[in-house]
Amino acid sequence: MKQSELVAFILNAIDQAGIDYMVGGSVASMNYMVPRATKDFDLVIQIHEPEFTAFLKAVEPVFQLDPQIYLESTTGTKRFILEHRATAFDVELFILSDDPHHLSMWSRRMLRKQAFCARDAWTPKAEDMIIRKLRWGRPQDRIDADSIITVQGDDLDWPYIERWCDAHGKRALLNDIRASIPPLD
Amino acid sequence: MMDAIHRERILKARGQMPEQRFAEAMELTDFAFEVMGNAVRGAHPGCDDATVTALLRKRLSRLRRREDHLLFKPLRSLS
Repeated sequence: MKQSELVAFILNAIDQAGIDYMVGGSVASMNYMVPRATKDFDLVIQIHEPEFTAFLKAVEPVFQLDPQIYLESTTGTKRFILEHRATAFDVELFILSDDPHHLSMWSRRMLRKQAFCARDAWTPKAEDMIIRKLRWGRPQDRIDADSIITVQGDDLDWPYIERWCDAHGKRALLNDIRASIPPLD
Repeated sequence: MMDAIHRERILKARGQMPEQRFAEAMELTDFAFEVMGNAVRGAHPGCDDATVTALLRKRLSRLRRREDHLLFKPLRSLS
């Protein structure tokens, strides 16, 4: 299977298991920025049993679960990694935390058409991807936030973005990126 | 020159629907993995597919650890 087919496979499996989810990370950002390749597929899920075990069992012939669980330092979010057996494409499963911005992002998610696999998928809004990228703040996150802001132009809810960036102490970084974008129109 | 290319890519992305941008990203990802796999095969001729995948995974794992630095830490193991 190609990587795009793996994304469709995982989305179908998570739907069939009845697990609430939203696409995350770079793949979610691709809806809003200049497209680029990615090395993995992030999903945020609301974990509950027995659905999670059923999901893992359904994907087990294709993916193996990394036994190591990881903790994200800013929000305490837990991460599992599913490793594709035949390629090096991984799926990262983030467990929905009680972080206030995560909950806001979750409540604002929307079903978006995914033309490449002829289905819909729950996807965060552009504003939440900017906030999330700036919060992590790694070099690629900053580039992606810049790309989303540049491509989306005026179609962004700036008071919402600024409120969360203030809460996360990222307003200066947001302002720096906005100031660095040249006029393109 | 680079500015012109960058501007052209942004204007193209602005004109696309979200699902078109997503589909293009998936095509790029398929292509990137094909290129990365071929690069590993070129560096290790004669390796079977499983070995190529293992070597590629090793490269990408190094990248993940770099990205995870100071942001993610191992919590516990299921095994």
